[in-house]
Amino acid sequence: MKKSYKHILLADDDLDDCEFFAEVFTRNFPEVKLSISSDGGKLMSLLGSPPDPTADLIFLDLNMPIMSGPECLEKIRNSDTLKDNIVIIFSTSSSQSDIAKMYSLGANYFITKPADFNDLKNLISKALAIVGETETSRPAFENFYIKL
Amino acid sequence: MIELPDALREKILREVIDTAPFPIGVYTGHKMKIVLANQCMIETYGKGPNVIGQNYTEILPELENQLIFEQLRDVLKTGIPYEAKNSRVDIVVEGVLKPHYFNYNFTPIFGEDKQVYGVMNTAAEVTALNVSRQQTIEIEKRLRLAVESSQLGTFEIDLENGIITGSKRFLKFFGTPIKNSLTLPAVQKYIHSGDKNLWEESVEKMYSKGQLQCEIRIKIENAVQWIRLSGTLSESDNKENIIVGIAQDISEERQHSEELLKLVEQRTAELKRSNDDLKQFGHVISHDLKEPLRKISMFSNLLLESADSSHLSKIMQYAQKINKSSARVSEMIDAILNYSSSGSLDLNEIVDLNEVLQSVNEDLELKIKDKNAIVEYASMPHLCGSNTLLYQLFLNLISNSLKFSRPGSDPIIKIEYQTTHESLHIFITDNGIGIAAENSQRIFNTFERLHSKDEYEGTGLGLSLCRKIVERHKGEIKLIPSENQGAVFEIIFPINIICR
Repeated sequence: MKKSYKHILLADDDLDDCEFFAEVFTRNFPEVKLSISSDGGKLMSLLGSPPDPTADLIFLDLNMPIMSGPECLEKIRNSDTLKDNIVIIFSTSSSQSDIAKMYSLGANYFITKPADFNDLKNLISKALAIVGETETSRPAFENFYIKL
Repeated sequence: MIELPDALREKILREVIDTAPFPIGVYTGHKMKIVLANQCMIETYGKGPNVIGQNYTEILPELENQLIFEQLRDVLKTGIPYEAKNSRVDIVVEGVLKPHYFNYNFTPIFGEDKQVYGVMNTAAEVTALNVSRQQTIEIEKRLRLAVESSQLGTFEIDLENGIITGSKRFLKFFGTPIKNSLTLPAVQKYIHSGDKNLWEESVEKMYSKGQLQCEIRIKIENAVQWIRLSGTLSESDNKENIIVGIAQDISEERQHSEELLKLVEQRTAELKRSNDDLKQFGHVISHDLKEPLRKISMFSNLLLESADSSHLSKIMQYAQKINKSSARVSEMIDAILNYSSSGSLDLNEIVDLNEVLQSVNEDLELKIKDKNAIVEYASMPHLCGSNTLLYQLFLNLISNSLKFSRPGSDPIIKIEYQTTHESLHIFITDNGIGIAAENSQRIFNTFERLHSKDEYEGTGLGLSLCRKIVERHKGEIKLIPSENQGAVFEIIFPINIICR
């Protein structure tokens, strides 16, 4: 059965990127609740008091002040209550070393921020479709990086 | 000689005299008439074959003033033989006057009446021997000059008993009084502890191969000297089992090469650092610079989508965002240009810090007015450095203080200085939001940003540029803990940066 997600979190310090992201959801997935944190610290405190409805899909930027993406991911994976969250890395980076590092830290998928709004829309739709199938199980490394 | 018939006896004697390989001649009378000269003597005169019967004084006029005639006449007069050793006689042979060396004898020949009848002249030419002796003296003289001018010490090591004798300079290397000689075990004591193994190996090799070749440190009362020893087995017949060699003080040479090595290391570190900087630029171009460009593209997409709709406010908002992003690109390119050009400027200008701060104030006038800020500074010193760089340094620091001001309170920025014997300390103090102590190092990294860029705009190059500028002036910059809220930067320059 295909799972659909009701409450999606985004942590990104770039307000423009947050706006693009929100625009995609407003247009394509109006039924989904989107909560945005502008740094890793805010994301962790949001996760600390259970969000309503329960969030289970997190889009995580890498370079953020206060607490970076990798730091958040480690905290999530080391927490008994949070470790089952699906984490999709959402970064400007497309470097192989970043991708490999995030895979080894336990992220579920990796998306590079595109330079085209339609690409962004399609990438997010694709990511949602994939995690709807695989849910919390992690893919093999060759399927870790989602591209169009 | 056994008894022989007179005729045979005379023939033999004549034959012996004539063919003797050394000159024999007999002269008689005051004019020294040559009554006998063997073949060898005739050649020695160098005046052709027909000399017998002629007067010695006449065929050898060049001997006048060489005391030879006097010696001959003395023998004739007194009957006392004359002997000369290694004596120089200049003779014209085949028309050329040349020095010759002889061991020669003038022996009186007595007649029946016991009176001196004549003088027998025998001689052995030792010219070749003398020439080589003079060459030896010449070579030795040159060698001594070479040894002296290159500050070499010479030594001999007797392999039988380990006794070392040496020249004055050689003994001085070991702090040994000139009259004393050294021994191998005594030298061992002076070898620097770090070179003892090398010395032992070299001595072993000297015994097995007859060659000594090493560079060692000699330590005498805390003074360390580098000495190069090179020696080889003597080839002289009377010096068997003796190593002869030279020793040279190479301390200076070693010091130069160590300094050179240090310089190379320093330059390598500088190169590595500039290489690392370049890598960081690469990182930025692929990352930070791409980001505003991506935004421009994204907002253009959205702008295009909205173009045919009536959402004028949206269209204006997207266009503004595009403008903002392109301004960021241009700002970053400027910052990178500044950063990379800070490497090649004149660092020996006389810089009046008062003027620098004055022009920084003028350039920041709008922001200062906008924020209602106060920038205070006492009378500042004149520095020796780059005007452009020091201007950028204070521009960056003061803009930072303005940028990170505390909302709701007017920024106060103070620039003060104090001096010690060694250094000039400049403090830049503000009352802004401050910087947490754990970030005090990170802030100087290239492209490090503590705040999200939407909160505080910036390229992430400002403070790293400041650090680079200060280091170019041989100083250091650091964030120091502040008693009050706000940030305090301390810049420390060596005291000689102040122009007097």
